[in-house]
Amino acid sequence: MKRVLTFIVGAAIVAGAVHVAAVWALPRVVMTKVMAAVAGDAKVNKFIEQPLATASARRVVRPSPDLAYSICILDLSKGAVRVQVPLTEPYTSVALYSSTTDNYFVRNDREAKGKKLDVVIVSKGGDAPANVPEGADVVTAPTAKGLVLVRRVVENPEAFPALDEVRKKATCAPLQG
Amino acid sequence: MKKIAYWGGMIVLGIALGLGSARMMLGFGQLDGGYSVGPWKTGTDFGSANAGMYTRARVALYGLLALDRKETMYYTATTDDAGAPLSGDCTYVVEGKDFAARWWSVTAYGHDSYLIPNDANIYSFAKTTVKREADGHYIVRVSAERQDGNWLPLQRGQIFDMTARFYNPDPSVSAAPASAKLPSIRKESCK
Repeated sequence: MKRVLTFIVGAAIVAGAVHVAAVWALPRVVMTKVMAAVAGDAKVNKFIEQPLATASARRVVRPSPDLAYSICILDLSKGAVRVQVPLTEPYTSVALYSSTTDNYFVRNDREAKGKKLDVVIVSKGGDAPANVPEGADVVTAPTAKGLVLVRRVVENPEAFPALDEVRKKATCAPLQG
Repeated sequence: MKKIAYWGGMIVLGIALGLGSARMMLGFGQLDGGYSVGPWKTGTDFGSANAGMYTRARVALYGLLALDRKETMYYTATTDDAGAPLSGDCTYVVEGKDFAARWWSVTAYGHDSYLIPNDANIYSFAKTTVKREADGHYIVRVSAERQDGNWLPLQRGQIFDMTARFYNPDPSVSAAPASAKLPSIRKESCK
């Protein structure tokens, strides 16, 4: 009888631990896979312009076909990274995601101080950069790895070529200094 | 030998139950976060650092790289107005007005959460692409068969769902997600 009880309690403890571990690990594993897939040739701290999503876009679930996405894989372990994003109508935003999928920062074109969104990202515990450019937002990332996702609404297919020219001017690069 | 079977069995059963229960918890409702407008459902914490362990895991599965609700709100419908699952074998009439947001779109997704392949390369309708009636409201036919007027294509024999996105929703909508106005989804015919 005691053996049966021990078996049941033991299995329940293992089940509980496995359950929590699986649910906890899932977003981390998925995010790591996505970052690896997007980075491809291991380019970090550099924008990669994604083509407009179609049925053949299968890296990230539920893409919006009306958005032009640019992605920069962040690695803050060697210092701060600066993101400068010129704006396009009718909507542009810069969103920062941690390696656990959390969206820890977002700014859109309406909130921009000038003609671009300008963000300096530093890692938690890293030294604050001494030479923050004027007008830039300084954001502390919860994890050294992560990604920057720029969304631009494409009003209609005809609007895309001009918008694409502007988005290629965006930069994601280590902050010089 | 008996001992190995005993402890091994306990661990194997535990792992199976743990994974199975995690799968069950995450499989239900997709991004069903608690607010409904007819068949359209939304939550409030997607992508936010406030998200709990389960929401975060669901987002990883069904809505990775989402934005918070001040920036964008996502409502997903998996059924029509009558509560029947959305099917590629049917034609639906989706009818509504502009959403209370700076920009909006409605996109159809297949059972695998990716865009639905179709010859016309149409995956969504949006504030700036939908054709409107004289009074500004729109009527869209969602169907595997080509339609005159607004058409959102499907794949026959497959279930699907639709996600409505509000970019910069009006504060009234982000404060009270259940008060949003979303289009009706009426089943017109099935094959």
